[in-house]
Amino acid sequence: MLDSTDGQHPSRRAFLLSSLRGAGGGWLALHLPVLGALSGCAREASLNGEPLRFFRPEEARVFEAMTERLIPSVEGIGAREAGAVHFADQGLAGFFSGDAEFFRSGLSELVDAGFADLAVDDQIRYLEGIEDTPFFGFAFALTVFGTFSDPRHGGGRQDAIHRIYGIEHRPGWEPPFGWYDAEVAS
Amino acid sequence: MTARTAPTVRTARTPRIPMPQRTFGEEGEVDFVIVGSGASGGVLAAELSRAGFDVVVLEQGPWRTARDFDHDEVGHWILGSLTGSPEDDPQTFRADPSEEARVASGPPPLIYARGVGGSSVHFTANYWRLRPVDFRERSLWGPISGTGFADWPLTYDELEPYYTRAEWEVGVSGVAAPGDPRRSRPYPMPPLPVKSSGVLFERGARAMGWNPQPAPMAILSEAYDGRAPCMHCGYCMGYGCEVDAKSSTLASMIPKAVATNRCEIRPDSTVIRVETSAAGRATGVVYLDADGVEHRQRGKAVVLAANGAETPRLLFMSESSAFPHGLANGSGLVGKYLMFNGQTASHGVFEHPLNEYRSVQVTRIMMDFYDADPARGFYGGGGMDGRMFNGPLFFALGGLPPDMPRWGEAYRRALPDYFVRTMEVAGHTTSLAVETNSVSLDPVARDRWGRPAIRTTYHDHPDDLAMMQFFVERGEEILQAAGARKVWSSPVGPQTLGAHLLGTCRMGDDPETSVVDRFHRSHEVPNLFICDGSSLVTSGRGQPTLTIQALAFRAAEHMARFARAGEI
Repeated sequence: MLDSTDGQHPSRRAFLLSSLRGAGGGWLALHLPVLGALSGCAREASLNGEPLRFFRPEEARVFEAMTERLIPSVEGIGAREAGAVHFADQGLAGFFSGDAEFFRSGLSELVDAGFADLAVDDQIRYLEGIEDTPFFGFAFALTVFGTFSDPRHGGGRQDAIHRIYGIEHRPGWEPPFGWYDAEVAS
Repeated sequence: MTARTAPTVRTARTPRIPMPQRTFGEEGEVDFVIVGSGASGGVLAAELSRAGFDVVVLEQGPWRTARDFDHDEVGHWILGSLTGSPEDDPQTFRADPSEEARVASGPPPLIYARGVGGSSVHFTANYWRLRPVDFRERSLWGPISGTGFADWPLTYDELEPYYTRAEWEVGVSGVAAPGDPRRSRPYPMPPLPVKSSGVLFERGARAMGWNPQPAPMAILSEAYDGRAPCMHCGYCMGYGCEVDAKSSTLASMIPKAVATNRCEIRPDSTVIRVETSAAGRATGVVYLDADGVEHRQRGKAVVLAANGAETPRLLFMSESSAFPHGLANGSGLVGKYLMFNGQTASHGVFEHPLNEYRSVQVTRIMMDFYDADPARGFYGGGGMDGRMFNGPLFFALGGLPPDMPRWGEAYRRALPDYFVRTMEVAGHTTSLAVETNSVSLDPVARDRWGRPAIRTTYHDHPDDLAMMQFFVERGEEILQAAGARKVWSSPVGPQTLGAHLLGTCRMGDDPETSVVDRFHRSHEVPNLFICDGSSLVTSGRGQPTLTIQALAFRAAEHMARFARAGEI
């Protein structure tokens, strides 16, 4: 029994989910597969030479640009470098397929606005205008998942977790673990 | 009874059996059929087989090993790699019985792991005893309107030897503190090394005049019982341990059960019905294998240890003309009095790195507000701990203070600074037994096997919400007293998710007000025993796994006694 999942984690998760402004309750749902989302056209498309399963090429280009504004690259690592768009592509074709059409519908407004080709400041202003919408909440969640996921899910590339947080990647640790327990130990 | 030494090939999709074990043919009758292999089922399997009985354990999930576990945050938290997916096993939720329950659109309302070892595989491993007050609090406090608040039919002193058994059998790290309840033996190994969250929790609590202490954890601080100690990887809560240092029943009790050569663990086996005879006795169970093919396993006694959600579901699904409201439900209390424990989270960010992503979740706790206090104006109590928040992904999702940017360059630049400097003070509090808080069968939703979905009805009692708010305030005080440069809390509100699944087949002496007796024997079916989180009469103050396991050690002793006396 998780002590809270540790029982705890359920409440923590509920908090986390509710803290995503405008995310609504449905984005995490793992709905039944919507096979219609997987058009043959989408399966034959690619981004930067990498095959796409859900996105059409322009959609992928726009969402990649959006992820770059949500978690920008600092010191060479951010959502774009982590491949968040590819996590989203894989997820929307698979475990998030129940939300695929909702997401595509929201993204279509950015495509129509030519988001990928706007200046950076204009992209930021555009996103500020939609940041309370359910679409934005879902897109942000996909970007975070895609940036910090295990690479098996399509994102988390270039050791993004450890480079973004500035931490070492080790299988285990020895005490002292942090500054305060080291201070006590000394 | 015939026994074979080689695994039986029963289906096209043979479950993986990672260690040699004795197998029993389905044509025979074993002594005990146990449903569930988790915190209680694993203990019952080991104890009953060590006592000389033939045991078959049916587990709905797979039999994983330490090598199967990893740190995939998306896999564990989003895709439910251990807890199951909503497509396979949907659940529905409503806050009030007057509402129509809806299929949960996010994480399942009741979170538990599927697989050998059950939720002891993914639990955080906080391993607290109840205290004497928990067993007689109704008498001390008095009745509470609208609740089934009751005393237990046993005392702390009766359960104490089994707490000790559990601590030594599974392997627990800790050290007794002055305010602890009486214990007959020290912990088997010293506490885990303190983390910065523990140092700061202790500093803040002492500054407030309180009494923090090392956390007892079911994680090995040193080599024990042939298992390796913790390597401090930082992935305990929600994850299986890659080195078997977490004392799940998968790592601790299941191998002991199998070693008796009297116990077969049968994974990927989903029980759908307890069968009964015309005389009203349990004769065995019907279960589905991984291909959905139906099988039967007969037993002289049936033991349900499937957790506080699955056990009542199975009792409801085992209704018959003799038991029209569900098996063993003459009291009408099967599934009722569900208790989650309240959970609170206060967060603080400090000047120097804590690096909470390393090592175990919790190293210091505090019990100063354990007892209910009439001066507060409401019933309740709880314990607190200092801990890490969660993994890298969830930190990026919601780990920053609410006044920070939620995306963009400032957000991105804040992540590394805050990730290594943030900790949490968590509160774990009482839940009252409210009759409408319950597990029942959803009238519409079905799982992949056609079983009715579990429907949860839950709304925290007003006293429970008040207690949570009290703990949020104490948590903030600790963080501020510890020198946090910023403090914030998760808002308190009615809970819609639970991992502590307690009280849904409560024990008691009176068949009118309880489902099982003090020995976990159902009041109506003499050879049907129920022993898991559903047995608890009150919620305790969080961290129920040790109590569930102590009850299982005690229950197994009595079941063996009854069996030897021909009383099952």
